[in-house]
This record gives sequence, structure tokens and C-alpha cells, in this order.
Amino acid sequence: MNVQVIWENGVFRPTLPLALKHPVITIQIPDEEVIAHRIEAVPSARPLPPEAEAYARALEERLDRIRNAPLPDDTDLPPLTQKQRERMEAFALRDELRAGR
Amino acid sequence: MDVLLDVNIVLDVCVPRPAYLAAARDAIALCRYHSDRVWIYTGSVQTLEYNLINELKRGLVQQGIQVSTRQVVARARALLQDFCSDKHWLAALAGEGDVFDSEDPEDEQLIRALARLGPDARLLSRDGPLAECYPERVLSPAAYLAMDRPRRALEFIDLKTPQDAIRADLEHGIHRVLHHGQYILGPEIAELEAALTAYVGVKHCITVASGTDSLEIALRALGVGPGDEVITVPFTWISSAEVIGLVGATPVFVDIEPESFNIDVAKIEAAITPRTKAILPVSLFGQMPDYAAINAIAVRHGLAVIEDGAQSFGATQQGRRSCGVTTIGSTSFFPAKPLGCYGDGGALFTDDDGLAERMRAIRTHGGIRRHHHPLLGMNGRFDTLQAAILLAKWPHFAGEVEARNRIGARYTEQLQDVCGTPPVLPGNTHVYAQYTIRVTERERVAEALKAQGIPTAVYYPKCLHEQPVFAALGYRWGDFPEAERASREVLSLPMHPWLTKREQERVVECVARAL
Repeated sequence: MNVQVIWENGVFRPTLPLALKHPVITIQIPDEEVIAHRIEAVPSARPLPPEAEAYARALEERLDRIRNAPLPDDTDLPPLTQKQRERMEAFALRDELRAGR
Repeated sequence: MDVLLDVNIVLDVCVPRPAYLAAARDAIALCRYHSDRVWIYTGSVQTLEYNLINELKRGLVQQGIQVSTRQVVARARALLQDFCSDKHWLAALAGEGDVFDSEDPEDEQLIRALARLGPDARLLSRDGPLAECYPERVLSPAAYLAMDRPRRALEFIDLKTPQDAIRADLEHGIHRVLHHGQYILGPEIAELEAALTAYVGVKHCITVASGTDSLEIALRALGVGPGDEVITVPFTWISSAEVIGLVGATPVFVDIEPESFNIDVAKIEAAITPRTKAILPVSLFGQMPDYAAINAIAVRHGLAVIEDGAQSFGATQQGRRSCGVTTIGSTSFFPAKPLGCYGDGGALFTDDDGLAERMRAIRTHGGIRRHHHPLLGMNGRFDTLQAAILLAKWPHFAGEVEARNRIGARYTEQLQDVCGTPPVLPGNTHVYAQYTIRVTERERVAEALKAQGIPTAVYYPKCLHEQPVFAALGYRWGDFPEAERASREVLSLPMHPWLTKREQERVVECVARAL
């Protein structure tokens, strides 16, 4: 089947709700739509001074540690409140509105 | 420069978004290097949280990781907490609420908040349409990285950094006053006076509208008036002598001693006459003169002593704090002072119950009870809003005094073989309201430092007996040789508790090179 998706910040998002059996699937993208096979970071205009370079590296390492840490046990976490669920829906709706803008 | 982060920049780094991570991260790192202040708008917190949850969850699912939403919530919050920990929070204010007729209310809020940071502030954002609407206010990370930035000039006195440390308390305190509405002598005044009384170690603290008003109130409370003489120094800010004239008395100058720039105690007695009512020494630049000796002279001659401690609040002598060692102690809360508010202010200190009552009355039009004025007073009350500001600063003051000591000592250690440096006299601690060196070719040295982005100041380029307003006193050039020499040689260097070792080394290196 053909599905329309929006490419945004490196992520494909279907324009209509879609339920899939598996979390990972392969999709085909026409070659002419691809700018680069690998998304490269935007290069800095000039090398950073060593102090700034060290800060940049430290920041990324700190955030990587959090991102790569084992996820907390789901059962130890407080349940999502109704307010949180409503906010998530609201932000999802906002994203839809912005995407259609 | 102030840099406000748009939500997309925070997400670029926190998600991370591979295509945009490097530029966003490097721009933030460069902001820090240039000492630009990086702000996050408090009104963006929920947008940040829920967008990050959304993107993190999508990413984890794409990687085939089974994850609950609440697990993602926990991770998103941990990331944001870490990312925001070294940024400044920009509070959302009432004027940023009514944005519903804007095409994008969130963007409108950011642009309005940005305006508060001044014309040079920029919104760091990848939002193309927003940049098109506000090309002069929105800067992309790539554009920021490409900017040519001159080497940052040092601050002579840094009033911004301490604000960062107390912003939450400061804003809370100001809002509390705005809401209780007791703008004159509100509860913050009593709270501050109690804290300062305990710190100085005296029975009474009376806050007033300025460090100049405080001296005038002290003189009036002592009954100093026309026909009286008050001894002070000719090398100081004009207030010290101005107030003597304002109450109708005559200032009598005594020369300073060359090392500390403070009154030469050995010369005081020669200046005492039957008309002398008080001695008003100045604890100049943050160090107290020998008050044991001054008080002994005062006792012998039946005089009062008023310490002008405008620059020395926090300094000690034999373990006793400035403003707590004389008949009356007076200080200033001018912003550049060791304990500075965000306007004018001052305080008086005494152990004498009667003097305290008179000073309280004089600051409020000569009366304590409403519509009853037994004394001639003035409108000299300290603002409640300023008291709220000092209360936010107060918990940090002791640490700042320590830092001043450390930084002053480091200057002396590194400059003592290069130029004249201020010694700390035995039994004293110094708060270095100014770090003042002596150089013979002052203008040339100041110019050389300025060329390297190092500001300096001259306190004071003229003695008070040279000022036209005091011409009628009849003093001449040569009457006070040490004060006159100091006024031609002193040069104050950047000095504040947040001066880094690297900045200080830069100053020392430039002074040494200039000499």
C-alpha cells in the first residue's frame, strides 16, 4: 500500500493514523527525493575554541549518558495522570495543525 | 549578548536530531565561551516536555524498543533537567499572556519576552518563517557560529552575574512586594534590618534612602549644626563632607596616611577645636582605619564618631564588623557597593537607643507617630522593593566577602613587585570595594589597559579641598600632601567577587606590560 508521510527533523510521520504489526519496517524512497544517504550534521562555520569544544563535548556526553541509561522500571513510575494524557493529545493535535499549516 | 533558545534548538540537542545537533550544540557552547547569557523561556516548559516525549518515544519505537509512555516521560524530564541546569530561566510575564490573536501565540510570546532582554538580544532558532518575520531578532545556529565576535571586555564591576544566582529569589521577592502593596516600610524592611543588625552585631539598624542621607541623618541625630565642626578626610567621595555642609556645620579636613588611603590618626588631635562635635572617618575602598585609636581620641575630647562605611560593609577590625565599632556606623547600598541594591539605599547602625530613635524619626519627616513631628526630618526611607532585592542577595553576601578577600589578596601577590598595592593592616580584613593601585603615569597605564578591553576608574581624581563648593573653607594646594598625591596616582582595577583567575591574570599581565 502507498502511505503519505511527512519528513520532519529526520523522522517520517504518516499523515493518517496507521497501525503496524511490527515496530520496524523497510520503506522505499525514490532516489530523486534523497539529498544525501547519510544525514550529516551541519558543519560549524569555523573550529570552536578549545574551551567551547570541551563544553560541547561534555554537554553531549552528559545527555548521551541519560539517553543510553537503562530505562527506569515501568512499575516503579507513577501512573500517567489524566491531565498528562490530555496534554499529550493536545500537543499531538497542535503538531497536526502545524503540519497542515 | 543575551541569547534566547527557541524550542527547536533545545530539541535538536536533547532528542538529538542528527541533522541539526552539531550546529545547535556548538552555538550553545560558543555562547558560553563568549559569556553570552543563554535563556530558556519558562512559558516553553510544557512545549519542550511534550515535544521531547513525543520525539523520544517515536525514536525508541523505531529502534524496536518496547517502552511505556511514562518511561519516556522520565527520560525526557531527566534530559531537560540536565540541559537546562546551566541556562537562565526567563520568566513569563503578564504582558506575554494576551497573544491569542497572533498567528502563532507561542512564537509571539518568545518575541515579546526577547524584547525585554534589550535590542541586542537574539532568538536562536531554526524556524524559517519566524526568521523571515523578525530577521533582525532571530539568528540561526549557523549564523551565530559564523559571527565575528571581538574579545570580550572585562566588567569593572559585574552586576549581572550575581543576578543570575539569585534570579528566582529576586523575582519572587519583587512579586511579593507588588502583591502585598506595602511599598513604604513594608515587612521586608523590618526583615532586612533584623538581618543586618545581627550581622553587624549592634542593637539597632535603620535603613535609609541612600548612603548620603544616612550620613546626614546621623549628623542631625547627634545635633550637629551651624557653628559646629566635623573632622573628615579630603580624599573621598563628596558625600562625606557634603552632608556636613548640608546640616550647616563646617568640614575640617585631616590628611590621609599613604598606604591605606584612610585618615591619618596621628593628625586628628591637632585639628580638634572647641567647636568640634564629631569625627567622620571614611573606611575607604573597603578597609577600616584604626578605630580603637580614633575612638580613644573621641572619648578624650567628648566627641562622637561616625564611620562612613559606604565601601566597607563586610570588613572587620579585630573581629568586629564595619559599622559596628563607632557611635554610629553608616553604609551605602549603591549598586556597586559590596552589598548593593538596584537603586539608592543605605543604613545606619548604633548601640545607642536614644540615637536610634532619633534617626528613625528623622528618616520619616522627624516623627515616628503619624502626624506628630517633634524633629525636623526628611523623606529618607529605604524602599520596600529595594529591601526585597537585598533580602534575595543577603544569603550570598558572606561568600562574596570571602571571594573579595581572595581576589584582592591574589592581586596584591601578583602586583606588589610591579606597582603600589594596598596593604591589609594588622587586625583588619578588607572587602576591596575598589582594588586601587598607585602608578605615576596613570593616564598612559589606563589607556594601555583600555586598549586591551580592561576598564579602570579613578577614585578620586580631585581632593575635596580642590572642589569649588569648598573653596570658602580656605584650604590650599599643599595642605594635604598625601591626599593630593593619592588623587594623582590612584587607579582602580576591575574588582568584584566573580572575577575569574584567568581574567585577573589578564589584568595583571596588562598592568605589568604597561609599566
